[in-house]
Amino acid sequence: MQKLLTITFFLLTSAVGFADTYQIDTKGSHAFVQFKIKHLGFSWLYGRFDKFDGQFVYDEADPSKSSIEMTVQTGSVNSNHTARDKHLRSDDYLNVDINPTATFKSKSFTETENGHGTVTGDLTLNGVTKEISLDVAFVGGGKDPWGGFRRGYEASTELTLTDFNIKKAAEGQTVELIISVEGIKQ
Amino acid sequence: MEKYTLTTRILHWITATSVLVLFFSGWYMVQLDYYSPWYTRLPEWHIFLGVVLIFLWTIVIIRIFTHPSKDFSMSYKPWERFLAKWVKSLFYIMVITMLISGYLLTTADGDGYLLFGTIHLPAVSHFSSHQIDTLGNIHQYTSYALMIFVVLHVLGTLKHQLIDNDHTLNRML
Ligand code: HEM
Ligand code: HEM
Repeated sequence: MQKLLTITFFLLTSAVGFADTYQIDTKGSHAFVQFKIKHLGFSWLYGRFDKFDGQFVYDEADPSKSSIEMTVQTGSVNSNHTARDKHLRSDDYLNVDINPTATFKSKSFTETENGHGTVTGDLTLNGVTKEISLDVAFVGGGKDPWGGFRRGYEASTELTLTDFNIKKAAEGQTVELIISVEGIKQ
Repeated sequence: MEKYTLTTRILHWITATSVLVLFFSGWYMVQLDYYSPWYTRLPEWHIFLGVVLIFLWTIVIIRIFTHPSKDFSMSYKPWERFLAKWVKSLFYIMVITMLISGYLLTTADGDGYLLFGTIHLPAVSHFSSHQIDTLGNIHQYTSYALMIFVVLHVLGTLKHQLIDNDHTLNRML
C-alpha cells in the first residue's frame, strides 16, 4: 500500500513537472566525453577527456525548455598513449596552452519520442565557436539507491576537424564525439 | 704544439657530431608528416643516438675529474678565458639537461620504452601530462640555447684559428 502511495505521489509530482537542474556526476565518474577517429582508414581509435564538468536542466512539462552546458579541460585528453597525448595537446592539434577548455552551450532541444531528441548549441573548440547538433538518446532516469534522483543520456555527433582550425588535421577528416552523462537532480 | 690527448679528441668530435645530429634530427622529426615513412623511424634513431650519447657523456664528465685536460688558456686574454670557461661549463650542463629530459620524455608513461623492439629502456617514473609538457619545453628550449652556444663556441674557435693564429683548433684535431 505504502509502495503504491509513493509511486502515485512520484507520478503526480513528475506529471506536474519542474525545470530540474541536474549536476553531471563527474565525481562518481558516471559521465564520459569520448571520441573515436579512424586510424589510416583501418581501425577506430578511441580516446577520451578525463576532466570536465557541467549541468543540464530537464523540464518534464516542456522538454523544449531543457538545456545543457559543459566545459571540458582539453589538456586531459587521454588516448592511452603518452607520446600521442603529448602531441594531441600541442599546437598541432588541441593547442591546450592557448585554449585550455572546450565548451558546449545548448540553444535548443527537440524531444522526439521516449525522451530521445536533438540538441543544438555552440561548441567552442580550439578557440573556434560553431553551432553543432547532437543526437540525444535518453538512457534512463529515476531514483538511485542512495536517496537521489538521476537521469542519463548519451549524445553523439560528428565534427570536421578543419572546421575548428586543427592544424595537422587532414582535409575533411572527421571525429565522432560520444558524450555520456548521468545527472544528479539538485 | 701540444695537443689534447687522443681520447679527448676522439670523444670531442664524436660527441660534437652526435649533438648536432641529435639537434637536426629532433628538429626535423617533430615536423614530419604522419604519412612520412620517417615518422616512426626517425624518433627511434634520435632516441638510439641519444642513449649512446648518455654513455659517452658520462665518460666525458668522469674524465673531467680523472683526466683533466691541460689548461691551454694561459695565452688568452682574461676575458677570453672567462668566457671559454663559462661556455664550456654551460655546455656540460646543457647537454646533461638535454639527455635527462630526453630520457624522461621517452619513458614518461612509466612503462619504459622498447627501442627497435629489443632494447628495453627502463622508466624512472610516471609523469603527469603537465610534467610531460614541461619536460618537452625544457628539451625544446634547451636545445635552442645549446645551438646558440655551439655557434659561439665555433665562432670563438674560428677567431683563434683565423685571427689570432694560435692553433686552438689544431689542438683538438
Ligand atoms: C661543431 C663544431 C665544433 C667545433 C669546431 C669545436 C671546436 C672545439 C675546439 C677547438 C676546442 C678546444 C678549445 C680549447 O682549446 O679551449 C673545443 C673544446 C671543447 N668543445 Fe668543441 N667544437 C665543436 C662543437 C662542440 C660541441 C657540439 C660540443 C658540445 C658537446 C663541444 C664541446 C666542447 C668542450 C666541452 C670542449 C672543452 C674540452 C676540454 O675542456 O677539454 N664542442 N671544441
Ligand atoms: C644533446 C642531446 C639532444 C638534442 C640536441 C636533442 C634535440 C631535440 C630536439 C631539437 C627535439 C625537438 C623538440 C621540439 O621541437 O619539440 C627533440 C625531441 C625529442 N627528443 Fe631529443 N635531443 C637530445 C637528446 C635526446 C635524448 C637523450 C633522448 C632520449 C633518450 C631524446 C628524446 C627525444 C624525444 C622523445 C623527442 C620528442 C619530444 C616530443 O614529442 O615533442 N632526445 N630532441
